[in-house]
Amino acid sequence: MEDVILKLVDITKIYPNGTVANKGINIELKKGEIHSIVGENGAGKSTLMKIIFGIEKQTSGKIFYKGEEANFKNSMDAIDNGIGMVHQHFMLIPSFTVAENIVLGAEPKKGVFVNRKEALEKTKSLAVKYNFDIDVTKKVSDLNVSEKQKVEILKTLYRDAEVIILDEPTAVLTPQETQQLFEQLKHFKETGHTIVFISHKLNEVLEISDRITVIRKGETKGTYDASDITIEKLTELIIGRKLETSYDDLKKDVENKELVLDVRNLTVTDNGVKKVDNVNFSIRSGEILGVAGVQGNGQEELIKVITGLRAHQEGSVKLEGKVINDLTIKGKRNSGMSYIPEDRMIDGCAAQATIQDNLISTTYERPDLSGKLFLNGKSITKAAKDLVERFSIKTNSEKEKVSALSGGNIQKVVVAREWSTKPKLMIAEQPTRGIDIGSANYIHHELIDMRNDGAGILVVSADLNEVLLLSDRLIVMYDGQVVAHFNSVKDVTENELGLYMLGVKKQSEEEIMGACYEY
Amino acid sequence: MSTKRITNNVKKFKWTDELPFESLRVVVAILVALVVTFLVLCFASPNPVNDFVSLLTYPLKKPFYFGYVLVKMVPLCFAGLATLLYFRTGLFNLSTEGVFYFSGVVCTYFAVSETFMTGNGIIDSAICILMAGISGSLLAMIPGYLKAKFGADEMVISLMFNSILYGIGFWIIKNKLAITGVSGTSSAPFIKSAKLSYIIPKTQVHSGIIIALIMVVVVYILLFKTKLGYSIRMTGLNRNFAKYSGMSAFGLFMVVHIIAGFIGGMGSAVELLGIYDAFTWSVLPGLGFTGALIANIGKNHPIGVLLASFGISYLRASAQLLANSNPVIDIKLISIVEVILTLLISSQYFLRKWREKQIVKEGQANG
Repeated sequence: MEDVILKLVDITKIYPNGTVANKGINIELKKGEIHSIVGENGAGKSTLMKIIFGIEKQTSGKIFYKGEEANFKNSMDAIDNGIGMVHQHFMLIPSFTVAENIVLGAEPKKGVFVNRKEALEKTKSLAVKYNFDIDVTKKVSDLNVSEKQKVEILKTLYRDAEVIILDEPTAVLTPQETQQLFEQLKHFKETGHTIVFISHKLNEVLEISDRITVIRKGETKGTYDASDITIEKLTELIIGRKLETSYDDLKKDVENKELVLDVRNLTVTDNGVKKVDNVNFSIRSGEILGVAGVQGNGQEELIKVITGLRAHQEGSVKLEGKVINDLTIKGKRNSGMSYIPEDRMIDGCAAQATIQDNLISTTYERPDLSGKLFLNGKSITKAAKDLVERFSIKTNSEKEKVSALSGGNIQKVVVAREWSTKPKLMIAEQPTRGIDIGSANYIHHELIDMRNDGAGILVVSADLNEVLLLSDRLIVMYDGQVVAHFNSVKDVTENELGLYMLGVKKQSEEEIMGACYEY
Repeated sequence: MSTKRITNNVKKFKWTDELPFESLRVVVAILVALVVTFLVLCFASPNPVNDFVSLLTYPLKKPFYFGYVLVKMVPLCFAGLATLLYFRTGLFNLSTEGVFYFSGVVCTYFAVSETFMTGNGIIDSAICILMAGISGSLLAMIPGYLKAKFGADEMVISLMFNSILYGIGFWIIKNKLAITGVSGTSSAPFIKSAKLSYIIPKTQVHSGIIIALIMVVVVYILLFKTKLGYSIRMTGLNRNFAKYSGMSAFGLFMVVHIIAGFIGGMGSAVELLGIYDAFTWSVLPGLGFTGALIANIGKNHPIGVLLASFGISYLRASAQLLANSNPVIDIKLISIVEVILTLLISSQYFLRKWREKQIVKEGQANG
C-alpha cells in the first residue's frame, strides 16, 4: 500500500439537477505512474477530476491522499497539498510574461513587492530542471498553444505538485508536439510525479500510460495495465459495444456530380492581419471535403464568411454557380446552405426554449409550417415529433427545454434541424465536438447518408481522426492558407498531416489548386 | 410506441417540475412579502393584526372599492404588456414611461378639440386611443432605431428619452392645451363623447378594462401563435441563435418597438379617458416603470402580467382607500411588497437549493 498516493473509494456525485455523474467510483493511483482515465464525454471523468481537485464536492465516498482521508475545500487547498491540474482551456494571463504567470499567486516577495529577479531565476531553473525549452521572459500572448501548455505544466511544478492532472492535453497539439509532451511526461515519471492523463485518443493513451481506468456512465469498468489491452478492447469497454473503424463501406458512389460550392481567392483581414489568405477550393455533390488544421489557423473565419455570420471581404463564393458573397444569412440558407455551428450553445440553440422551437428555427417560414402571419402549431409539433424520432433524440417530449438534454442530444437537435432543410451544401463545423461516441457515430452516419443523397459537405474539425474518417478529399489550413490538398485520404497518415498543420511542409501551388474543380 | 406515450402521460406530479415549481415560487414569494408587511405594521401600528386584515380584505367590502381595484389595474396591465414585449426580445427598454406621458398629451390634443370629435362616443374614444397608440409607436421607434441601427444601450437611451418626452409634453400642455386664464397644470377638459363609459353600475369600472383584456389575448396570440412572436422569443432567449438561424434583428427590433409603443400609447389614452376629466399629470405618472415591475412579477407572460397587475392593483387600491381613514397605512407600504416580490420572483436562486435537495434525494432513492 506504500506506493498508493491517491485513492478514491466509492465516490458518488449527484448534481443538483438530478444528473448522476459518478456512481461508486474506485481508483488507486500509484506513485510515479502515468494513469489514464478514459471514457466517453459525459461518462463522468471531468466531474471526478473536479472532485479530486476540490472544485466539486462528492455526494458520498472518500478520498485518501498519502494514506490519510482528504477533503480538499477548494482548488487552492488541493494545490497546497501537491495536486496540480492543467485544464483543457488554459488559465493564463496573456499580457503577463511566462515567469509572471508561473509565480502568480505564490510570488517570491521582497517586502510587499514581488521580487522579479528571484521569480525569473526560479522559473528559469525550473524550466531547465524539467527540460522545458521555453523563454520565461516572453509574454504569454506571444506563445503558441503548445508553449502555453508548457507554462501551465510549469505552474503546477512550481507549486510542487506531486500529482498532475492533464485534461485532454493533446486535443490542441499536433502529432509532433504530442510526442514532445510525452517525452516530458516520461521524465516526470522518473522524478516521482504521478500523472493523471485524460484523453479521447486511445492510441495515445496506450502509448503513454502504465495503467488505464475505464469509466462508463459514471461507473468504473476496471483498471488495466496498458501492456495487456488493445485499442479494440478499450473501445468496447468505453462504449459498451463494437464500433466500425472505417466508413468506406457506407459511402456510395454518387452519379452526376455537380459543382456545389466554389470558393475563389477568399481573403479575410482582421485588424490588418490576414486570417484567411487567398483560399481556393470547391465541393461537388455527393462528396465530403475535410478541412484539417490546428485551431485558430483561419478555419473559423473561413466558415463565418461563407455562412454569412461575418461580412464578406475579398474573393468570391459560389453556390451552385450563383455568387452568394453578399447574401444575408437567410438568403444563403434559402439558396440551399445548412450549417452546423462550432458551438452549439452559443449559435446552435436557444437552451431555454423547447426542443420543438429549436427544431424549427430555420424552417418555420416554410408554407407547411406557417401561414402569412400565424404558425401552424399542429404541423410544427408533428414535424418536431418526426425529427425527434428520426434522430432518436432522447427525451420525454418535444415540449421539453433543450437545456434538459445531454450534449450529444443537443447536437442531434442541431443536426436534425439543419438536415430538415434538405440542404445542397452542408457545412459541419466541429460536428461532434464534446459529445459521446455513440452520438458522434450517429451524426457521422447522418452526414454520410446526406452525402450519399447528393449533398456537398464541408467538414471542419480539430479532431484529425474525424476528418480522416469522413472526408473524400482533404485540405489542410495553416496560417490562413491552404497548404495541402489530398484527392483521397486513403494513404494520408496523421503524421504527414501534422507536418502540414505545423507549417513545416507545404505543397506546390499546382497541387494546392487541385482543391478546385475546373469547369 | 403507443404504450410508451401512455407511460409518459401518467408521469407523476412533482413540485420540482417546471410549472409547479414556478407557481410554488410565486406563492411563497407572496407569502414572504406579506409576512414582511405584517412585521412592518407591527412596528408602525398600534393594532397591527386589524390593519393587516383590513389591508387584505378592504377592497372586498363594497362593489365600489373592488371596482377601484379593477380601474387601477388597467394602466398597469397595458404598461406590463408593452414592457413584456421588450423583455421578451431581450431588450431592457423602459421608455414606456415617457411614451405613456407623451401619448397622453397627444390623446388630450384630440380629446379637447371640437374639430376632431364627432359626438359619437365609440368613434371619438377610438380616435383618441388610436392616435395615442400611433404616437406611442412613432416615439418608441426613436430608441428602437438607435438600438437596431447603432446598437445603442436601450436602457440609457430610454431613460434619457423619458425626460425629454416629459419636458416637451409638459410644455405643450401648459402652453397649447390649457385653458387660458386658469393657473395650474391642467389641460382643458375632455369633451364628453371622448370619455370611456362606465360598464358596471355603482363603480368606476369603464370599458377600458375590456380593451385591456383584449390586449392580453392579442399579446398572448402574438407571442405564442405567430411567426413574429416566435422570432421575438428566439431572439430574446439567444440573439446569436436567432441571427445564425437567419432572423433579422434590425427588422424585429423595429417591429417590437412599434407594437410595444402602440400598446403603451393606448394604455395612456385608456387611463386618461377612463378616469380623468382633463390631463393633470404634472409629473411622470410612474406607470411605465410599474410596467417593468409587472412584467417581472408576471414572468414575462401575458397571463402572468394580467394576474400581477391585478394583485399589485389590489394592494395599492386597498392602501389608497384605507389611507383616508387609517393614519398608518400608506401607498408606500405597498412598495415594500412590490420590492420583495420583484426580488424573489426574478431571483433565479430563490428556492433553488430546496428544489436541488429534493431532486438529489429522489436521485438517491432511485439509485
